[in-house]
Amino acid sequence: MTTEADARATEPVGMLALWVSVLGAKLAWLAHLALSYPLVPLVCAGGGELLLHTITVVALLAAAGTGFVAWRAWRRLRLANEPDEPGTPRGRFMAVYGVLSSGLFAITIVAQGLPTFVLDPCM
Amino acid sequence: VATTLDRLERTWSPPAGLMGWLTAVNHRTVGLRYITTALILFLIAGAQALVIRLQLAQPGLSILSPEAYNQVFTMHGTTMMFLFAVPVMEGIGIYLVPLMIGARDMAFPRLNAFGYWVYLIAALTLYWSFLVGSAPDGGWFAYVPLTGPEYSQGLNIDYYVTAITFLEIAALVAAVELIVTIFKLRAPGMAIHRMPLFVWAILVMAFMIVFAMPPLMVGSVMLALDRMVGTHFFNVAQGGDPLLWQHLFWFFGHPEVYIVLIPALGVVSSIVATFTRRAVIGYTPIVLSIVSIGLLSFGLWVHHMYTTGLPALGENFFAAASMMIAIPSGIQIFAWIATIWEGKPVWRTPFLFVMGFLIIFVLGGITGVMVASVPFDAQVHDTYFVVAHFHYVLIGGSVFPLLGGLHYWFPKAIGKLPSERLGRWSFWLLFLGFNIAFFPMHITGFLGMPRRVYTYLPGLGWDVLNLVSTIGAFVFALGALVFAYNMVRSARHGPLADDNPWGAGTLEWATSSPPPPYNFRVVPEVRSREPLWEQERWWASEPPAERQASIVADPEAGRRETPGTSLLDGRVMTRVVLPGPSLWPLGLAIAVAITFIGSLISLWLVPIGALLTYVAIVGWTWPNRARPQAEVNVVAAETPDPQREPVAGSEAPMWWGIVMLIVIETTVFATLITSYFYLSNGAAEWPLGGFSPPDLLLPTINLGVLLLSGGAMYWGDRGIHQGNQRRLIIGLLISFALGVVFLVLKYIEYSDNDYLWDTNAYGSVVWTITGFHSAHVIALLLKTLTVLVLAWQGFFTEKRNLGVEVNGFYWQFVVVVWLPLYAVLYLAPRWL
Repeated sequence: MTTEADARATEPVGMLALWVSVLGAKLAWLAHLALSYPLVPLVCAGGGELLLHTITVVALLAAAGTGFVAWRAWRRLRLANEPDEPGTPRGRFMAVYGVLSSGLFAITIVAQGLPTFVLDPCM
Repeated sequence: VATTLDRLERTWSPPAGLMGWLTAVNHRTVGLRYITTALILFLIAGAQALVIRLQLAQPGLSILSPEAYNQVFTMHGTTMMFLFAVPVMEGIGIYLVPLMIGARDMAFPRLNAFGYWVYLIAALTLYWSFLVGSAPDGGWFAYVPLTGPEYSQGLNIDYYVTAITFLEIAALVAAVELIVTIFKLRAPGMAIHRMPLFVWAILVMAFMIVFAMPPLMVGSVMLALDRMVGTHFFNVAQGGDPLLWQHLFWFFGHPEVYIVLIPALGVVSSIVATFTRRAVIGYTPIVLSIVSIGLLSFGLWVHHMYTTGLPALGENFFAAASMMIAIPSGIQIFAWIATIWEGKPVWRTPFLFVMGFLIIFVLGGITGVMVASVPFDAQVHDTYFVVAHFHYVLIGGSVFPLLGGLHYWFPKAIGKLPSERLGRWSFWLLFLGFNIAFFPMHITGFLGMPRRVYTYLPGLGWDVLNLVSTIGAFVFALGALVFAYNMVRSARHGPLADDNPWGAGTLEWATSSPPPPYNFRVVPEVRSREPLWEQERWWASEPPAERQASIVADPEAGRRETPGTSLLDGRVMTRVVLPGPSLWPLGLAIAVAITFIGSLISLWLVPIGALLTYVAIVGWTWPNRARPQAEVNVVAAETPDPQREPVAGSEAPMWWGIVMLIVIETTVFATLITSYFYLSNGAAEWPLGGFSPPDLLLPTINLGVLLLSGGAMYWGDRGIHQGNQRRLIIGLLISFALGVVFLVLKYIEYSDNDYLWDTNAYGSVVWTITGFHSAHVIALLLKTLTVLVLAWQGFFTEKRNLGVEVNGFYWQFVVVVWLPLYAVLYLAPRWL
């Protein structure tokens, strides 16, 4: 894999952590929408609004988790003082991006979770 | 040095004359063709808009008949969205991306040319229907049941579904092309955090196309089948559902708006940086914004369907996402304002267009947040308020940056400077004309005027507003003409442009204007985001000999080469050899056109076109023995070697191309599966019509047959990797035979079925999914046949086997995708 050569340059943070930072919260948001929307008619029939809230909480926790991974990666890469190592600035970019991305998508998950408090699923 | 230049020139120059014109594959030629064609269509669709505005200038006019009006507004929208906006953005990407990332061409130059021909044929087909008076007339989103077989009986909608489905091939091809080029052909040192923001924007646009277009293709194929062979996907009486069309269309249609917007945001970032003389503030947040807008736009589609009676809670998930997309949009706006604030703005024409963009787009964004709210939308849905909103977003968000960008990159592409005076005139006419035309529509909409009415009664309070809008539209058109005049006149008489007339910082300005056929004499090495501002002027002086050697400055034996670099850090890994001019792309485009558009004349043309497509693909991919074949070298990636020749695995652009094809196909199959469950959820009984669920025995045996064929293919594939040609041939033969057995068993199974595709919606979806998968198996058998012939001739060796690898990869995909399809077709009816 091409990325293996890239990965070596980003020590001390692994490639997996950086990809989780970049993509994790986005996938959590996607899963939240893709699960909640089709469930509405079922929730109406079965009365389980708690299920929708649970999905929101789990998605939010996932986004917070990827945010934490990104923040930790960023701190480590900031401490790793190797300006000549080509991977490090790029790794830092991915980590900072991950922190911001996790924040944005966590807010979006919250916004998507709010209607469940207000609206009747059978409306 | 002169010999190096001569060699580059000889290697990359296209052949002369008509043949050269038909066989051209260079990305700048193809890009300019896209842009020019799209701009001509923009003018045509603009003229249609003027006719619409004339008809509406006063109440009770009859310049157009109601039928003609329907065709004109449908063609206006269809042309603007499908034939202008997406192709022009792709064209700009195709032209600029290789220059911006320091590559000599794109990853698949011939595919690029093929995409353009498809686009051109699709555009000609749609306008042929317009000329013969049976243009599509159901609006650009072609809602069923109006566009279904019952209410639209002429050829009008048939033109729409076939041309649009066909056209999406061009969009997808360009998207794959752009993604793989950006992934694999960036100049050495251009790590992802040094990519120009414009390149990020094009990358996101391309990914959006990959995920958004397949659902539209599935939807339009379903509509075509409903109309042509009597399926019932959208027919309520037989268990179909018109809302399925709306879901499929808007799952494409909403991202479509952002597909058009996002590259424009990239243009704005380029212009802002150059004309404020500093890097745009907030690179990382802007990249995040671009990516997030692209992703969030897939979670908004239901906001086009608020008034269709969906559950309110479900709608509000989409309202939330629709409002949240304002955050990343706002981040970018504030980043640009901060950049302008901190920089030294130079008020030239491109910058004026950016200013126009900021004002108009923010207004359109605000009305966008308004219509994202379910109750507000219910009030203004289908009124002129929505017309005002989306023209603010599309013209403000997309056309203004586009025109600014055309003015900005004109000197690079043409080598002449555009007139600043005419540029200013065009900007102010466009800006004022736009606001005079479209601002009153907000009010017309509030006053209740519905969109798409061909006339209205006097005394409703709409008369003056409509007249003002019409006047504004003509002022806008005048601005567009001045702009076009400026381009044409400057191309002939403008002063010569030097390499970097605006003093910009990105790589496209490091080469001559217009660039030579090979783009760069020496492939640049990148160490910063604005290399022309921050690095020494390496491009002006002769490169040291060791750099020439290391970065593919010196092509051998007339081969078109460009460095292949790693995905994240842009380290040089290999040299990629690109194909040269060819007539096959045009031939394939014509063959595919016969398959799709031939269905308008006779359904028999579909298999004939498919056969010709096969012939063209074989001709295209057949190895040219006159030229030395590149041997695949499986050297571990740990030892990057710029001198190393073409490659296997994830280093090869071809590998990424196949991965993207599989992503597209997966999206298509996922859409089919989703449609299956959508229809079954809405049905009282499933299977519909009291049929019993399909028998399990034969299909399960057949599943085993297909899995075995995958195993045999893998076994043969491994064999050739060890240099065992016999094993390859045996493996191919076994998997070929098993593939035939699979199809025969399929035939036996389905000839025994009680229901056909036109029995009810259940039959339609089952036959379509099976038919689509079987078509894949047939295509693969044909493909394998050609691989088999080559294997028989001993073409493949231990080192030269990319053709086998790609064929096997795709075969495994068609095997694996049958697993979920098997579960859906045979197991799901028992559970549902």
